[in-house]
Amino acid sequence: MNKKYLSALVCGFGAAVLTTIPGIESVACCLLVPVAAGFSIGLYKKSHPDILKIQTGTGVLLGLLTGVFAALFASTFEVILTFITKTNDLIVAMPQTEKLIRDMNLGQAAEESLKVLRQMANEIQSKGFSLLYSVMITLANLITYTIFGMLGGVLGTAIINRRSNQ
Amino acid sequence: MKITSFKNFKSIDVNPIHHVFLIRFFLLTLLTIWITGFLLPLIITIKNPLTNFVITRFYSTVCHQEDFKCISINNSSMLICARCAGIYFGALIAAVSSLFIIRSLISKRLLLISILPLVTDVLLISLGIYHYSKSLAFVTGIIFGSTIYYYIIAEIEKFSLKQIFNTGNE
Repeated sequence: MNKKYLSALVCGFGAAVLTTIPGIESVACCLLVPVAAGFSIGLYKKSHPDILKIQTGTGVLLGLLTGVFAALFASTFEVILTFITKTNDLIVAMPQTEKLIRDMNLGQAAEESLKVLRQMANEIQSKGFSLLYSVMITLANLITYTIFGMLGGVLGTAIINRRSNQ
Repeated sequence: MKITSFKNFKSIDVNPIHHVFLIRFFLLTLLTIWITGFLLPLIITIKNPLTNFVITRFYSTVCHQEDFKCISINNSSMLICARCAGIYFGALIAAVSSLFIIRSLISKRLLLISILPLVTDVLLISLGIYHYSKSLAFVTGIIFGSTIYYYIIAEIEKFSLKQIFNTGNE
């Protein structure tokens, strides 16, 4: 594998592991992926000692890849944990959602989408897996983690390059 | 990065000031979309529970969303905590102001100083010295958000201008 992708893979995996730890998630939340992107650039620079300065484009690419890997691993971990425990945040939120729909009397459209949510919840509770839920969390993770990964890439490049200049 | 002198760009058709303005306007648009997303429960009543779940789940990847830490107005809460909201609003303030400022120089020292109130607040709350305050979290977030936004756009603009004027640094 290309060394460029290896640092992103390692750091993305690390970030994904950390997202599964509840205590860390509540403190670091949006910082995990940007910090992982920064570490990924640091690793890349260490593995390429001949490069004096990292180009911002390279940093953004590494951040993007770190975000993609983090999203894929985090989604996989969540699917596995859901499969083992047969519960997740959807199951936890279901009673509250159903109460809200009843209290607000939101009509037929709300009932229809509630059916979809119930179906997902039933699949998770019986089989431990829902394809729709898995696709949803993977997409959500991919979008947010890549955005924050790229931001981390920009910041990481700037900080590492300025440190090299000193 | 200093964008105060453009004497090196004389021979090129692209106007760097216009280019920088476009980048900043684009980033402001993206930021506005992102902020509108987490403000949705305050703006409209999301009647579709599936949509509500998807949006909430989307923002849960970037914030813990603990109820007592989220800013609420009329029984509706933002989809992110007060500190995260502060960071994004700080970035929004910086994004709007950046449209009227050419110079976008932020030193690393200033960036570190701006993160100090936020980190101190988190540490003091974690040590139990005082309880979580939404307003304090929001203000420390604003300070950090506005500074980091300038830091990020300086890098993006430097990279973008280098791409246009073809002076790579790797």
